[in-house]
Amino acid sequence: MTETFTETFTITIDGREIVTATGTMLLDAIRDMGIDVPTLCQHDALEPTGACRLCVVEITHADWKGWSGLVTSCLYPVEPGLIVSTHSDRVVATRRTLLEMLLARCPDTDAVRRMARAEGIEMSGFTTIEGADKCVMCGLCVRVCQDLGPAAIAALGRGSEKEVGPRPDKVGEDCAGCGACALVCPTGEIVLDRGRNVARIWNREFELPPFEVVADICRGCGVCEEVCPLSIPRVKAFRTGALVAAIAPDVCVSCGLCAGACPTGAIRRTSPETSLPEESIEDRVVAFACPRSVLPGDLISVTVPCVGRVTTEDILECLARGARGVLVVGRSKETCEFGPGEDMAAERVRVCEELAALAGLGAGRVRFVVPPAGFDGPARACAGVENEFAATPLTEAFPIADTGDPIADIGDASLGMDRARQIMQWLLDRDELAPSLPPDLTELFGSSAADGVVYVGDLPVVDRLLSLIVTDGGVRSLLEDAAALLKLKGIDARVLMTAREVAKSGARRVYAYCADGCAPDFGDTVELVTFDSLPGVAREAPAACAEFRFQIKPAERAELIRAMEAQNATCVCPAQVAQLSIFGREGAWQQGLRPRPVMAFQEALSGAKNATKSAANVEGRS
Amino acid sequence: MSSQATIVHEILDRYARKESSLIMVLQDVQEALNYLPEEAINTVAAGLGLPRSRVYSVASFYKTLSLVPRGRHKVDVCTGTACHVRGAGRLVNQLSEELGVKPGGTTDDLEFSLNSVHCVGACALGPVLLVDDAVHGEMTPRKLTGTIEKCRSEAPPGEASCCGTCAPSLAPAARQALGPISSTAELEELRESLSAARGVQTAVVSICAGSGCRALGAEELIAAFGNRLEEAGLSDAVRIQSNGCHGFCERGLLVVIRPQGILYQGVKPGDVAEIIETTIGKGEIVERLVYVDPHSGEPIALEKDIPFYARQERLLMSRNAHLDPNSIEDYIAAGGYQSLAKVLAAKDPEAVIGEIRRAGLRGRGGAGFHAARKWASCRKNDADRKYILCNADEGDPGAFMDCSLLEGNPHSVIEGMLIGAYAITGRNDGGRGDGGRDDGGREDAASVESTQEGGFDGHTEAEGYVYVRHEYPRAVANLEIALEQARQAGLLGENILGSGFSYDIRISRGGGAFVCGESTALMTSIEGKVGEPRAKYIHTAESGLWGKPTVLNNVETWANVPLIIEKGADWYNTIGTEKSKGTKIFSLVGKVNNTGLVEVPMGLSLREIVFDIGGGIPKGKKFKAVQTGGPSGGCVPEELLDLPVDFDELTRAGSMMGSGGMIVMDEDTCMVDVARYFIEFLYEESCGKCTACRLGLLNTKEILDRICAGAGRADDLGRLEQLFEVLDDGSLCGLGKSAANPVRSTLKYFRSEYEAHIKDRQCPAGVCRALITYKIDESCNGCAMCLKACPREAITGEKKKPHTIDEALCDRCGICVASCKFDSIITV
Repeated sequence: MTETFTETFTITIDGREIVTATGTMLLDAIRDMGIDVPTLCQHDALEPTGACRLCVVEITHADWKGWSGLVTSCLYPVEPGLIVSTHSDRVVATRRTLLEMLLARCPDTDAVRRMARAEGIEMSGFTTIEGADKCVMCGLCVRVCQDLGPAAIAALGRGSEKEVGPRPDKVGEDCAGCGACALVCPTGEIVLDRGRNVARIWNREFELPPFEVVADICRGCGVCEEVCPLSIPRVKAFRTGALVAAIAPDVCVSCGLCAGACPTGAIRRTSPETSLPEESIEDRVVAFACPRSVLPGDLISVTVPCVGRVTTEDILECLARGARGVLVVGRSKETCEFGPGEDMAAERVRVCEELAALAGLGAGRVRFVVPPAGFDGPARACAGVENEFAATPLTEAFPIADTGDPIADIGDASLGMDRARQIMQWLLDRDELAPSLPPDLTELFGSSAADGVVYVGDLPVVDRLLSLIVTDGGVRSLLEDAAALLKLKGIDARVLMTAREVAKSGARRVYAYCADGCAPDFGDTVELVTFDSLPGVAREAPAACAEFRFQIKPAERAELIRAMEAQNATCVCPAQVAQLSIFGREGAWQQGLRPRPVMAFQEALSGAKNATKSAANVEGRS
Repeated sequence: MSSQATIVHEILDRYARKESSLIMVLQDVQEALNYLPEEAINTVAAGLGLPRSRVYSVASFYKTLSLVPRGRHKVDVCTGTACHVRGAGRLVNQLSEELGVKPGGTTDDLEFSLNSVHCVGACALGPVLLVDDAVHGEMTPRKLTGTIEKCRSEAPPGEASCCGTCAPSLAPAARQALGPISSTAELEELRESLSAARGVQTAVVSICAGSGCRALGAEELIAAFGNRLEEAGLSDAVRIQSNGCHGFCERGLLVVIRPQGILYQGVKPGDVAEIIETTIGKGEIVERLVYVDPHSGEPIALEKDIPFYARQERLLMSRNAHLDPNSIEDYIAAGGYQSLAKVLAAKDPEAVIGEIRRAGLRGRGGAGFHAARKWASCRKNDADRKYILCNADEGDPGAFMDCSLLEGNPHSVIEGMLIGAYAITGRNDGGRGDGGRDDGGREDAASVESTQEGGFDGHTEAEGYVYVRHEYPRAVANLEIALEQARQAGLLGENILGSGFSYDIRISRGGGAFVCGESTALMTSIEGKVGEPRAKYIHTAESGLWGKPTVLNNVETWANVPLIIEKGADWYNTIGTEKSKGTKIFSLVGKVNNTGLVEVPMGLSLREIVFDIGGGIPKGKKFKAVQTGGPSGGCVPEELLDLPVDFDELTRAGSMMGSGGMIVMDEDTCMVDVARYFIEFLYEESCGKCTACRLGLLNTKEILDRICAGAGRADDLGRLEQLFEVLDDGSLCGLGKSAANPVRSTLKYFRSEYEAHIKDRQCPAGVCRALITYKIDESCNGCAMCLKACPREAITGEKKKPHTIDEALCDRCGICVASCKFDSIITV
């Protein structure tokens, strides 16, 4: 039975005491002390197996009547009072013979030579195998493939005849081409051989169709540059002043992280991508996974090169088309070249999950899953998930059936706007969703204050969404900043989030950012003043609102607000931002209806600071 | 669906498509399709929900499985230790020559597949050849050629049976099942009525049908007795009992006539009429079939008086000779399952562990770990399920005790496991009932409740597996029958003997991997995986099979359990030495007169075993050493012959008890060759997981090969000692940790032989091919037998005149030596 509590105690390693805890493996405790113990078969992402034997140490204990013995430290759980020697004569003798034998077996393996040299061995006394390969039989490749991959390779045979492979003829018919085996191989025996748009491993070829940038859509924001694990995309400035990214097709490894992160949807794969099926996905569970995961057949599974390829829009599209739930299946970022892609996907799932919950779909309709170890790990992780998802049919959650598929309609920007407003209105009509109004609000906004209410839109969902997308605070704090700004202008402004709040506040006059995106009809009792009708506010420059799709630090935001003040550009339209964030792939940005976010942001900044210093800083980011 | 796929699906269904059945599924597929074609592998993988790579991995790990087509005929040479010292190597050489393939290969015409196998349990007949699983003993070069030629013209055994020894007749069809016995009282009633029925019969003809005697034709003999007795109208009065191994394999076929206890040896079907007429009819002795003491020349008629038996203490083996393994009635009539009944009635599982502890029962599988300690440690671990396992993966070359016990008395193993399971998982009510479950009225309610809880409510389920080698088809068959009989008799399964205690046992067949005798490897193998061991820093009693607390004991250990319960720890304590109690069965083989299974009290000296029981060395040769403990053990030299045999003494001498192989070696045995033999065995059987064992054995083997080939180097012995250290200290499991023993012990006691090989380029025993030359001396009468046998045509000579060997052509295969009837070919 595993310990249910953690106990800390002291053990002695090479004469020094260290406090450690139950469940710690001896090797970890040793390495925590900065003591170097060589290993070939150890990897943090994989369970230890004790195959290479190099991490042997000698242990004894005050109660053991002088008995001592060698143990494999990677597998040995610490226990109170243990006295460990990592370099006793016995340990060194064993380790040296092991390395000497490995050196004879794999004379050309750098890792072995390096370790042997550290023990003072340059030549092996055992018969050297001529023309030997580099494999030291550490088993890492097999374990990573069996535990965290499609289980395409295994150890074949036994004893010193043992070899690694998919099957005796070495053709990896179940290989996913993920290259995890090559990545963990300590000797370089296994190589993922990359050619032009192709990767070869285990006698298989995997096509790697490059991703490309659609120049008309790209705004040159540079996100692709940041996320690419190989830094392949480059944003280039054209004489016209346009900034457009480009991806060198020869070297692109087709992971799709750039496409997943691109805010404008400007990046796509040159050959058709696996995508959602045309047929109905209503009431089904859709799972996005990379080829390392073998998924059960009862799910609609979409194989993507990396889960980092999956966009927020992909997930929301599934929900909008009536999917019962969406799973994004990670695997093992520690053993993947595209490891950060998993974090990106997890973050996008978190956004969508919150959104779906807010939209009344119940919590957990969108999930990021890291399956347990084993070839069937993904299947086990997905098993039964269909029943777990709330049974609410999504057509009810999103009352959009009569106007057809909202995604399909997004091509028309104004229709998209209507759709957003429609959805939000419907959400508000559901009592349980409306945030309860603080009882003292009426008092707070009594007659005296009634004049000064800033109404920022019926947008709890949007606010929530943006608080997730825009770091630190979200649109609400942004608006509160804006309200503060208005106060400076002599307007007693408060931020209210819903029409109901407005109604209960008893306000007579409401200021909204714009009639277009924010304000519903309040009826005759309330006077609506939109900002664009305020003196000095340019209706033509509603730009800055959209820019918060990108990460803005609080200091930068303050900067921006000052900039907006300086420029009299005050419109921060959450509806637009939200809509673009949710449905933006085919949305306004792409239609060229909106200024490029980074540029606008940059302009705003430079306008505020009136200096080249910060401008250069932002340029550096693009 | 292709016919192949249909066959595979049928097999998959047979095992309910359980992942853990992978190895058995592959064995059955191979039996049906001759090998494992790619399509079948794909079907199996899909059917069991496994990745193909894992199926390939398992198929390439277990030696009995083949990924390439095998020949129509299976030719296996036993290279167990006993056969090795009797010249199995020469058989392999000759067969390789004649068939043109190396061991492991198949002839181009797909006629023959040649393999070397490790011990088929017919050591007395060594060297042994198996053709399509039929045992051909005492092979000589000429006999070998004849056997192969005969086989070439014959069709392999019919499709209906999987192999020669495992004929469909093994099925328990003819036997009527015992109805469920629902209480201890009913069991006692049944025992009395069975004994009474047996008392009516005037005589019992007890025929050994152990692996050795079966190879000599025990089945025909049984049939002959049946026919003759029927003709004589004695079918009802005389009972024929087909037994498991009696132990005295050297003298098979063995027939014992009871009640007198007369032993007839070397019996042939032609002797049956005389035995019936003389002994059964008139009560007289057939003198010519009686054992004659080689020293005194006196005939000895009674089994108990024969020195081979007289010095033994046959607690377990004697039962083999008194019951038919396929008859649960025989077992019950002899008091079987009484110990189980006693334990269940007492309702005090911890007392059972106490009794086993007081008896000092130590594991017979090798290391001699105290059984009770294991049990107690498993008992105190909380878990919803615990596994009780029996290790019947007797892989030691030259050992067949467990095979004989399991074959000859499977119920004793089942009973032992049942008692163990109860001791480990039974509820301790301090003698008060089993939580109300034995209270008839509440039983339903209680079981409904536990079903509803569906999980761990403090009640632990026990489940058992017997892991038995696929190479022991008869043991598998007998165990299967016994399990089914026990189940039908209410002695296995739900609510055993009405006690509320439930437990079932399944069979898991291993696939020919010695390392699977190691406890953790055995457990992974039962899980249907490649049998690789893991470190045991967390004991299997805590986390074993499928991560649950598990107790593993071997066949002989389990078979001792009912005995201890029946007669008590105090009685058991009177047998054996201070720290090793009870008896131990050894398979006494090699260069010894009385080959067979011997069961002796712990503490008997090696000299008594080898010389008094074993009858000494044949042909008046000089004793050199006795090897105990199998490949993990060591060689004990003559000066230690008076060593009392128990766990600790053998370990102290650099050997070990092991599972009980005892191979006697004479002056013609080269100790370097013996060490090389064991290292080669271990090298082939190392799973290859850990560097120390994989490369340590590779290098040890290379050095020993070099020494035996006459290319030893001055620093080789130092290198070997360096390798001992890394094997001892660096290996992951017991196989590697003890692998140095055979070399270390021979180096310790026979260092001069090593030095002779290295410095003088000589093999004092005349075994190592590269270091000897054969010469024909003047005693040669020119029979030309050797001339015909020599595959290199190195022998020339005129008829009836001494022949000569051309040294340049001779490659010292030794075939001529084996073919010469006059010992005229000498080693120089």
